[in-house]
Amino acid sequence: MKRGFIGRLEEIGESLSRLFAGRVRVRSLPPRRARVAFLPPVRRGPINIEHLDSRQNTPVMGSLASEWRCVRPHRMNLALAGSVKICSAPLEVRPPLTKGGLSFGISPTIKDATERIRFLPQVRGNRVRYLKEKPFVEGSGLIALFSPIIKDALLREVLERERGVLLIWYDVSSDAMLPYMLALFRRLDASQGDIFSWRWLPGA
Amino acid sequence: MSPQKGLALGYLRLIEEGNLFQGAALVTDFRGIPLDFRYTEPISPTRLERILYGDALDVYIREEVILESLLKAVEVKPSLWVCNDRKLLEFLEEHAACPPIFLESTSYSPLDAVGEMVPQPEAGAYLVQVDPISAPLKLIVPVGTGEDAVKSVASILIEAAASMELLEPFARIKRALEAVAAGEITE
Repeated sequence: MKRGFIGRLEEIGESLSRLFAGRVRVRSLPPRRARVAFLPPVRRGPINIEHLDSRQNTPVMGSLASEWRCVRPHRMNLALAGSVKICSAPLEVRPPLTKGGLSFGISPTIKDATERIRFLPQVRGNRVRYLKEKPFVEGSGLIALFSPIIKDALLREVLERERGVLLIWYDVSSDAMLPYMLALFRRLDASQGDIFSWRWLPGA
Repeated sequence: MSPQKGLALGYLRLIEEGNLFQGAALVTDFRGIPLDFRYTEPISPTRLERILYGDALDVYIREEVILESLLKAVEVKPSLWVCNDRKLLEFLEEHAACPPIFLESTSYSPLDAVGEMVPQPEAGAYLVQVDPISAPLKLIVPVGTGEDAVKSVASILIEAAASMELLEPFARIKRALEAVAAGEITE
């Protein structure tokens, strides 16, 4: 019985080989390998097969690979062995997101790090070049302006000299909302001592 | 101008480096203080998956795997979703509960007044002056967004820009993901 079934399969294989005139070799896969290919379900309508004049040069209009991107269904023609055209109905493939079919080795695990990111400072760049009217302080020159900063929510600020930016940490429990600008001045007449001074200015 | 309480901006950033894809969403109040921060662990498709999905792989991972998951995970809903990749706009317009925009810095001189908007040749693109002491930002809204909706987006940006640097959260997200990778930030 089993041998009869296998024999029948071999006959079918031979018939197919003859049909494609040696262009296609038909082989059976051992069951173990066949299980590896686990594709998502493909929804498609009935397939119409029609014969073409062999002299007609039918271009291959698309490939299955390009269909993966297809959201709007469209007509696709495939030419096989130069003699048969398969007019397929719209083919729509949308890989499943979570279960069944293809799933990526690393599934999209989402992590919540809200509390942790609050430890990272915000960065303020120097905006002095955009000022149309620079604040004047006698004997000093404005060299940097950092804005906006919620002064009353500020826990700590650090000037990073290499990049010329100000790092600021806020008290996340503060309700303060009023923005200010923080200006850095350099004293022009100071030969020694503290030559820099900070001043808070009203928000822009 | 002091910011209104309860309003928030959402920032989405995707990072693709070699075969690794990662994404994060940061929602801040109008002072830039984080209200919600979610990130995906890096996703690395196998060679077989690259072959099977072909050119569609990147889009699939970016949109359906990362963005969709982040949008679902975020609990604090922002007034706007801000992204720095204009390719994400179409997907976000379809799937996000609030308007999505693309925002980018420019090196132009400041426009004459806060609130001034200059349409750009690209569809849906504008230069917008959100505060008096910075370069105008390049704003892109999804094609077909009405004039009133664009003005509404601009007014939200102007209000937020009075008390925070609008593009700064993108850099903070990147630093946070680097910190995660280095083991400095854990769940």
